[in-house]
Amino acid sequence: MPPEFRVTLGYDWEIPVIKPGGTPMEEKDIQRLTDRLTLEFPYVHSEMQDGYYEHKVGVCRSFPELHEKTEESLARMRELVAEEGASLYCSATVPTLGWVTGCHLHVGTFFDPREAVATRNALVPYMPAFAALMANSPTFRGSGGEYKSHRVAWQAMGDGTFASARHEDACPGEWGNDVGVRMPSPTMECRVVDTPLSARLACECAVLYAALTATLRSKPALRAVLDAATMDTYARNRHRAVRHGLQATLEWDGRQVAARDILRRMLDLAAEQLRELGLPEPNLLLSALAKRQTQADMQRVMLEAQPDPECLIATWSRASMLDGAFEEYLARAPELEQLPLEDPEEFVRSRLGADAPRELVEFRLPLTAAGKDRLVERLAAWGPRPAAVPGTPPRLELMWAPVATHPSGAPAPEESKAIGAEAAAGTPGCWAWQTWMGTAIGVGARAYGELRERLAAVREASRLAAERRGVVLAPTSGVSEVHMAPGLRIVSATLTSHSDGYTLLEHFRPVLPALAALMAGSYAKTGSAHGPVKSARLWCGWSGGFARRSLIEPLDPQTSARRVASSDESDPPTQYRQGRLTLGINCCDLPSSSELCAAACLLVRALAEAYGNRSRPASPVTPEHLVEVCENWAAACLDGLQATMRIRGIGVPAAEVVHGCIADAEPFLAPLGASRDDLWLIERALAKRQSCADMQAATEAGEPDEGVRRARRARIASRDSAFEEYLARAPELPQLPVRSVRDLMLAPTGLRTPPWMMVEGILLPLAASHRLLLELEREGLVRIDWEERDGPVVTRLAKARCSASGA
Amino acid sequence: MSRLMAQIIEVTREGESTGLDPVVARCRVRITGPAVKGLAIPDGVKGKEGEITRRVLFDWELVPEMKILLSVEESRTFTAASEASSTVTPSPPAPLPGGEGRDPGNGLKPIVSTHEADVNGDGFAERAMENTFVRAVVGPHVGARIWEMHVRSAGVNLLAPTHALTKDFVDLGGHHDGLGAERSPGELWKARFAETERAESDSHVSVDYRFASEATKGLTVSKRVEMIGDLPAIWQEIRFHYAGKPDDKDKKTEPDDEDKDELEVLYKPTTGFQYVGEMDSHVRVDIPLHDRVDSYRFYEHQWIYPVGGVPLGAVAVQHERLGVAMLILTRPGALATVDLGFDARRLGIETRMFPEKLGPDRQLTRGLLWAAGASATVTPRLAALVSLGEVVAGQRAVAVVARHLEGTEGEVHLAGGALPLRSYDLPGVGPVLGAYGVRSADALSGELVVVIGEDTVALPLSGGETGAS
Repeated sequence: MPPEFRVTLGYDWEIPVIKPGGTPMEEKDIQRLTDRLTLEFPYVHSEMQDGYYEHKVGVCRSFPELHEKTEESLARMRELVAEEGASLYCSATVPTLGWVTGCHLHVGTFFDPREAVATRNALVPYMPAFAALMANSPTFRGSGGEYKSHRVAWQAMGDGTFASARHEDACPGEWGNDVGVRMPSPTMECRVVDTPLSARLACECAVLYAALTATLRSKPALRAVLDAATMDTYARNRHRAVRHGLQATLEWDGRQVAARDILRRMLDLAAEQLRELGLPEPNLLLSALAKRQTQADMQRVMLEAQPDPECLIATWSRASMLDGAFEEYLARAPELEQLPLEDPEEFVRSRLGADAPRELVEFRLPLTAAGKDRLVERLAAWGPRPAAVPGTPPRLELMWAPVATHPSGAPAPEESKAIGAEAAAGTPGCWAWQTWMGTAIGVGARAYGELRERLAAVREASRLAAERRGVVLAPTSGVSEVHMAPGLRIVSATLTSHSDGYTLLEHFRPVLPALAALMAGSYAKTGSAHGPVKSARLWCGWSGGFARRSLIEPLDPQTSARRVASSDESDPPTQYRQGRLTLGINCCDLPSSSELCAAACLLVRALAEAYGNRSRPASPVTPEHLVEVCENWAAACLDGLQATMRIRGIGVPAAEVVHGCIADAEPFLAPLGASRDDLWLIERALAKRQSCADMQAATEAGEPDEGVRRARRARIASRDSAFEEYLARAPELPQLPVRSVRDLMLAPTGLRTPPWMMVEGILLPLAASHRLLLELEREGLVRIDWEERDGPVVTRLAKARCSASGA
Repeated sequence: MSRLMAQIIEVTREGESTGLDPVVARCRVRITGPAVKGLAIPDGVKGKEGEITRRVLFDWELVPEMKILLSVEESRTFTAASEASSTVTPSPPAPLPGGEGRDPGNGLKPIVSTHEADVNGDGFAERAMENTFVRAVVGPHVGARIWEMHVRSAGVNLLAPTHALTKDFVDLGGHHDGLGAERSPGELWKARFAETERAESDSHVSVDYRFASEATKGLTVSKRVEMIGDLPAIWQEIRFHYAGKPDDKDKKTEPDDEDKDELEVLYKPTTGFQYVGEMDSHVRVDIPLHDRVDSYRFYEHQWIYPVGGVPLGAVAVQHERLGVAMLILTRPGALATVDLGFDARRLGIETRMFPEKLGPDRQLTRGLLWAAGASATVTPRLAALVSLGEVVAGQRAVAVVARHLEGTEGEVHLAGGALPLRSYDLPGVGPVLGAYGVRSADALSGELVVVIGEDTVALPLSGGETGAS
């Protein structure tokens, strides 16, 4: 059985290192310094980037331990940096640089994910108070004054965003929100704290956070329910906190309360735990509260004395190299006045023009999905709207990737990018879109015939561009490195609200694994412990992991928000694309056949029309259903169209699920200029249970050399008609049985360590995976070592091996 | 900017610091060199001693032996007195010739006049170029950065750089060109100033940079800034060329490739079009001008990825009150580089990644056209700006700068007859359309209509709101 929760604490304190003149120090130079630091203080563990490093002092158990380790290691780091003629810069922003840094607080150790998620939700309303206390970025990229924490206001450039409510029984691990259950080390991470100047304040804040977390964990009665109103208040308070720091007035229990009074209540609430952690009186924190002063206010005062960013950099560098500069400031600083409750909407209105696109309004004021919709409705008279591209948007739209390989079969990512830009520029109705995986080409059309023509034209343009570069155009997910493999992304609908997108996704959720099975096209012979994988991209690729991630939790627009700045590869319920709010379907592998690309786009689009006419499902999705969805994803990845899906407990062949989709979509094909006949290639694939992955498997059978296999696959993918020709000759494949998640987990490498971090392969909600593992442990099939540093480690026992082989 | 680094020899404080009231600290300092390594400073300045006065809050802010960066004004007290350097014009900020004393030409062919002066008083000569519509000031010693760009009819400097970081203000355009900005790394300052060519209607300033650091050895950046005589526009071309290292000879992949997608090079691979630049767009910003105490609101209308077509590559910034506007045109793929607060560090030029991604013996061209005038607009298919200028009494010059998604032929309609649009092909920018004409001042009211293909854009001749159909 897992051990009980115990309080451990630590931080990842990102600290910029700058050279005279404000130039950031390079990563290799910082690495040299931190290597020396670690030699002297083995508990220090640092990670670095160009310009800054993460100062970590490991897992601590009390304030004295944390503070002592921080003081001694930081003092030594200051010396090392000074020897290089450089300095630390303890602020979340450097006025002349574009990036931001924070101090991520970690509290552990949670062994029960349900308990962790419940505590995490309870912490959400308190995040604005922490942001107010630790605000330390009053300048940003040459501007200053608007916020005391520009870093949090700007969502930490996507690394510290609005925290949605999570379902205790059904949610994946998370990263990058204000507060979240962080995997693999099972800790509660808080990301609203700016890089602090004062080590003492950082430690006091970390201990307050730990004490509050422990208190809320142990006293469920103190936890607020995260309903729509609470989430709305959290969003507004978050804005007020980053604007005014400790001078802010926040909303609390329906009343206006000073931010510092909320922090005092938090201190009272957590008093017992604070004592146990060795910090009965957080003196510096209390002094800051008494004067409503933050480190951001100190920066502002210095800026006013020397209104020149370079001078601020010089002075703040100096302060960062001293011990106790903030304490000295605080001793002399006056008490600041309490500022009235600010209306965030008015603030946004005052900063943006009436024709600001809705995306930007939403970025400036993060809210839940429904909150965003309400905001736009309220501000309708003022005018924010989706960036209104004149004319009617294309009715059919997809993102196609011009993947190319060298003749040897080796990926040619650089050439692929160039081909994409060139082909898109020369083809009407197409445009290039740069993603971190390469160039994607957007293809839009009003009618199906036009889509096919444009797709064929851009494919031909890409082929010619590839020829000129001496590479082979092989548009398939199957030839790239699996983590970088692009998929086919289909815009299913243009939405009028985020809530509509959530509803639409609820309808799509059960059928998406079947669509993924239909489009499976990244075969890997040794892709998993369960044998070959038909969609390696979805099974273990990054984009595949993201595509499924948002589908294994209930989606409530009233309490959930998605990152507006989400990457193009992920699959959030709603995202802006080309200025329009859309629902993207990203679960399809990229097939080499442009006919199949177009048909899939047609089917998804018509299906969205069909679903758009339905209201939100009356019965909400349950954790049990989500486990089924997870099993179906695994089956789709492994078995393709041979898979049997479990739908509400009943086994249904994947091909039947797709047939059901076609029936639903059929009435909506005509308005798109198509008929059921246009789905002939899909129907033919369903009849034989064959996908592009099966073609890849068949044509590579018996070839032992990976390079030869790749080259062959690329050559086949370079022919647009290859899949059609293959299907004409291919036999019908047999139906395979349902995949049970329990069997999958007991397979030789089915167990992931640590168990809650299953973003690859079998992706389960945290609570479900935990329950299942405990069950397996009780049955003596696995052993779980709970106390490992990086999270629990699971080992399969001999009995399980027998069980798996027997299965 | 000739800012200097100095070492404090002695500090004398006047009064005692209590609360957060600053005290005056007089510092005796010795100049140790330029603010940024590699910047040329006048002979005789290094080692010079003098006194500066600062206001400080804490004792630790200024202590003996500490190195400090002098402000522009403080630096000037050391450089202005020096007469030893040939690169320095030891004169106070000099005004440019104003409109009244300027030869307006005959109105049919506008004239670009050039002028050398220490416009901003930094101790170096800037190059000013102006025509009927705009006046631009270029600083060769700071990487041929466009320092100022005035709309002559409105007397507004659209690129007003501010180094006083005050509340709610943004340094709009201060780092627009990404190179040679004052916060760029030292090696960039080793500029070789080329001859300024003067022609009847065009003028340009060129600068070559050679990088000195190990990481970027072999990288050359050439920059050319040119005023287009009969348009209210400055064209800026930057060419990156990496000769490669000796052991790169065998790695040569292909000859100069002007078409290479520059974003591959200009951005690190983990970034893409989902770039912070997009967050900066559409934001209303306040910018202070040099000589004005109030501030002005700008609003950007940006279209980066119009649906169903190739991106236009245009950004328009329209002033809300003053009736001035700026239009920026570039290759569509480079549009994301038009970004506030953009500097060489963001491009990663000084890192080893930049030449590596550029590749040995390869060249890349990046261009931007900055046009300024009365009003501008951008639709997904068409961008246009109109500018007005004084010529002779009763007559006004009118010029249009435009870009269309597909067409390069069109007309400008206004009272008194249509103007044909001519095409300019500017490396790094692509096709740009321009029209120039002179009309009686009375005829220039209401709207001007730009028609290209099936697209039409109407621009008010007095600035303000724009409309598109």
